[in-house]
Amino acid sequence: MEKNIKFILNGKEVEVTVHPVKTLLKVLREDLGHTEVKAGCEQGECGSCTVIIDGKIVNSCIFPVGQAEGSSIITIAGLCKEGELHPIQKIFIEEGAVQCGFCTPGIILAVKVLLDRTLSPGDEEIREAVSGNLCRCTGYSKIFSAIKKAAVYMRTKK
Amino acid sequence: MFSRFDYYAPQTLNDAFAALSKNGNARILAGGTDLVVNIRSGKIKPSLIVDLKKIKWLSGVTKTDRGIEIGPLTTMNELAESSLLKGPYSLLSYAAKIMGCYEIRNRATVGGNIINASPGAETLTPLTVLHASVEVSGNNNKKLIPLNKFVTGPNNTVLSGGEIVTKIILPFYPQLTAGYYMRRARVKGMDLASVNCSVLVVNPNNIEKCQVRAAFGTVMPTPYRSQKAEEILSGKKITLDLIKQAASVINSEINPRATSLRATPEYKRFMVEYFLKTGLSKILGVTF
Repeated sequence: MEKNIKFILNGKEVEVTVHPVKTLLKVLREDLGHTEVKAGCEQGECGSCTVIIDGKIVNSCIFPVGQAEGSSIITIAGLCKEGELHPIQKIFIEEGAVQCGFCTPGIILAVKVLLDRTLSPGDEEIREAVSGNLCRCTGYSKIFSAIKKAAVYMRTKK
Repeated sequence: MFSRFDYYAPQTLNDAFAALSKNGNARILAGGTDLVVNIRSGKIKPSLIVDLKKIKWLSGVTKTDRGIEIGPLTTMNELAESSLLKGPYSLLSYAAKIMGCYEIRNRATVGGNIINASPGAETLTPLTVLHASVEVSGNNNKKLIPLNKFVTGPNNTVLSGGEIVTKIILPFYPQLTAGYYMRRARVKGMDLASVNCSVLVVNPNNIEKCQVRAAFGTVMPTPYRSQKAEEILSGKKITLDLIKQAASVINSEINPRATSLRATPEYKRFMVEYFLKTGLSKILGVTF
């Protein structure tokens, strides 16, 4: 029982013909070739597959694509503007907040939504914002300092 | 994997009922945080998924003459941020804020949480002490069921195949009524509660009219309240001795199962007095 489903992906309209309960993660990776969205636990536990839908972060691995009809979706690839990395991406690289890199797309999108909400997040708010994104390499301390630095950068640039 | 069942997203409740009545093995999709995982693991094998997302009025928190009305599709983050869930109701928004992680809270719904009826479900003990009623709508009827009659066991409710939860209603409370939600989990972040508890004190400023309610999660198949223990604590000045008496009554009534994955019965029993003491001291602003 396939259906045509349209949504906006990184600013461009896309259309897929898939089962509406196929997960958004699988549609993005398998039908649309967006392998920058990572498949981790596929049970909504690890946050590797995080994408932004209509301004909110969700786990795309437990999101039936039928519910994405008409939405605007941003993956990590959508954060670059004309080949230029987003400040959060740049600062993550500068701070060495990336090791194996598997959790990084999800974490950066979670941080993007946090900094869209506030440019002066408290320590607890930062921990809260990435609590659904598991990183098994870094121990989070460099991620944490990169987020603080990104907030300061974006606040002073405004 | 998904080709064996159909998907339908009705615009109205009547269309949803029509679809449910034609298909005995239909499942309702709200936030999907349990449903999608259970379909993939093969735990459930529905023949039809009815997605309620397009029925917008099933979502949101409003104040009416009946009380505070919560739509079943309201997400955990919406509960956490609701300006109506303050004062007496703040323990519910606090519990919603603790659940899962930010991504999950954007998807998980309060209706899904109570229908899934996990023994440690984050919203169940707050809704229990707040005396929530569940509005259940069927094809041609509508009924209000108290939450403690709605949930019948782990993953079990009185909801039948053709019915949909359309509201969760919280009664009004006298000003100053206050509650507190507590949970213990193996890790601070993403984990289900090993054991949890909600305490509500109605009229905390008036000793004679003061009423204490306490509901415990994971100590019995459904949220557990002890009438006897609540009587011990209500209508008088609360002391450590009364808390100890109440905890020992609760411990004589509950029967936490030994096969729990997250905490031993001994630990859960130990937590009863701790939760009562902590909850009451937070609410009343005194140390016991």
